[in-house]
Amino acid sequence: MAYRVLLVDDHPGFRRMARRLLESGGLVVVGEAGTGVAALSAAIALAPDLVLLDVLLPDTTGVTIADQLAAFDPAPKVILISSRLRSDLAPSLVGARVRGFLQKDELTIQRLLELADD
Amino acid sequence: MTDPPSVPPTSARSTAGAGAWRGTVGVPALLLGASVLFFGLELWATLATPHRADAAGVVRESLFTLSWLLVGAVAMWLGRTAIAIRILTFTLLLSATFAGSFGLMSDALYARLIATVTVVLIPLQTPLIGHLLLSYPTGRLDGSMAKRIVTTAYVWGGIEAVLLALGTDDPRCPECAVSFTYVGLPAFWSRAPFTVLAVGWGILAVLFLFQLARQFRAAGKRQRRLLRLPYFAIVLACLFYLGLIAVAAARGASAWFMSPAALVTVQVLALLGVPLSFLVSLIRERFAHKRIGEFVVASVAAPETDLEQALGTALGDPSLTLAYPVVDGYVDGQGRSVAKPVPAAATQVTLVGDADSPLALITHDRSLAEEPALLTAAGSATRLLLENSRLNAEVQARLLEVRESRSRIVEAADNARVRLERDLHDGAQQRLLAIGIALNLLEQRPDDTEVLSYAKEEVAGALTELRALAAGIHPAVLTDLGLLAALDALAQRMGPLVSVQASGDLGRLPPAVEAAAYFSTAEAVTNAVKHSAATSVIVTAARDADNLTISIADDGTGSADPGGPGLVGIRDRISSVDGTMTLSSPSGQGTEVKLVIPCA
Repeated sequence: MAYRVLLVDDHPGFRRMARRLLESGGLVVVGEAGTGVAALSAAIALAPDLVLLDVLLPDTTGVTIADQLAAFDPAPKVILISSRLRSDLAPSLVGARVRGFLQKDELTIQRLLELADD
Repeated sequence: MTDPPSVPPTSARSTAGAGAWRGTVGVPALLLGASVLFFGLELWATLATPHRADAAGVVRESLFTLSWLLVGAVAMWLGRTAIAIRILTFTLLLSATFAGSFGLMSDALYARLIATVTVVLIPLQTPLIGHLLLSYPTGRLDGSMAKRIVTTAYVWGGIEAVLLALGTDDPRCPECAVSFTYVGLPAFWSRAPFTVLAVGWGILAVLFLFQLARQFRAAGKRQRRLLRLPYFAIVLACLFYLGLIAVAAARGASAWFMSPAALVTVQVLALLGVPLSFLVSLIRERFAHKRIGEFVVASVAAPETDLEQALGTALGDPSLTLAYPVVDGYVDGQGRSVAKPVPAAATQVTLVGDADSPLALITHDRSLAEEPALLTAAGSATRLLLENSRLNAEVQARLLEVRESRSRIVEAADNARVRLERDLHDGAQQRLLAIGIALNLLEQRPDDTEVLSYAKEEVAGALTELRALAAGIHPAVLTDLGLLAALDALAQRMGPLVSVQASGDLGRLPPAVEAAAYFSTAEAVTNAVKHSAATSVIVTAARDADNLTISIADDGTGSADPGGPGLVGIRDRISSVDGTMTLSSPSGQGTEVKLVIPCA
């Protein structure tokens, strides 16, 4: 069964390409959100299996949103993404209730599915 | 006196013209010379002529006269011209009546001449010494009461002089020289008028004491110290003299021809007070000059010293106050608002610095006005210290300004770096990431033209953003072609609202100057376009031999906040190249920011 994905990032250009990428890999992108608040309401409305969540959002951080999403039943799998280096973000990701983290330049279907299916 | 006198930076004495100097010092010198001459002549006449008084009396009288001569000379030397004239007039009279008071026993012409001078002048001794004491230490009479007492005393002395000059037909010394004015009034005239005169003298003496008390009460603290000694002596002498008058009145005689012993007591008392007070005054002035020196040294060493208190101590005037002129009135040393200092009964006001823009006004005891040299020294010292502390304050203020400006510059640079990182992160970097994904997609599906054209768009967008960013960091045109070209490019970028007018070629300037001028102009133009609702922004740039001048003028709403971050940033940037920024932004009449940068 293909993952139903919610794509959360504040850059529309990136969302557009990411959607193409996910869809080319057979995933279903059920929604997009540019802010943390929009992400939560979309998650409630769409009940995605997987959330691709940017770490730095205009209104909050991906880690905070991930905590909220973890309380959902069923809780979606969350993978954090960022244009920043893993080494820069590592300290702030400790304890995050997520499947994993991908740098945006590492984002491929294969890596994504590895983390999601793990 | 309504206007406070100005204290010039140099000695007050040197500012008086030579003519004025002769005019004021000449009179006491003349009186001193005449007194010495008369004293010499009369001493000779006394020694050369048989007389009634004993040798001790002559010695006493000589000492008395010489002491007063000395006091007069000291007053003259101290530069107390007015009081010196009073004292020396008195010594002249003492000298002129010196021999006559001993009762010369001779018919010689000179003896009769001396006798004449003596009977005419001796009654004037009382009004003269009264005049001297009421006018001490200034030499001027203060108030109508004092003037009336002194005038009445002169009139009274005049009447007594006429009576004495005419003489009576029962002389107490038949062998003595007879004055030319002698007519020998009947015996009645030798008693009754003198009784009346003596009563008058008594009343005048009481009024005189009353007036002294009044003057003492009205005097400031410093003046009281000057008055204490002579007043004490003169009150004692006066009380004694009153007793003497009472005895003389009972006998119908002039007090001046009463018991020699009593007269000597009066003389000694009068002798003690005034010369001693002059000595004290002399020593005090010496010490005061020394104290002013110490005051300056101490105040320079410890600038936080209370200037007012230190100056008061140095001048021996605890009531002294300082007032500093400010825009809307006067303040004291603590910055509290005070009333404009005006002279009062016991005080005077002296101005320090220029008459037009004084540094300070000193309100001090009236008696200090009699020590012009001291006041001048104090004024110069105060001026020096005030200028010192003002310079110090200016340096401190400037230092603070530089520190603040430096920390603002550092902060602005930090903020700029944060902005730059964010711009790169949100702009070009995101586009590059999207391009990366697009390339991945194209790898799988090379014929996806939509992804290809999207990738091309993103490349073009990233390029534009990077160019704009680079221009914001440091426009290439500024480095390559200079300020004018960069300003033109700025106007191009900002749109049709902004126009640049340059008078002549600005040429190339040091990179720091070009950068400061460019970024300040860019900031001012951005402000005008963003915040002022202007319909036109005109940038004019001109360069002369000394300065680069740039004006950014708009026709917007005005009322720009000079403390806003934009304008503060411009000011900091411009001051980093020693330039100045001025702002004119009346409400509703547009804004002009003017930058002047030295570039000689």
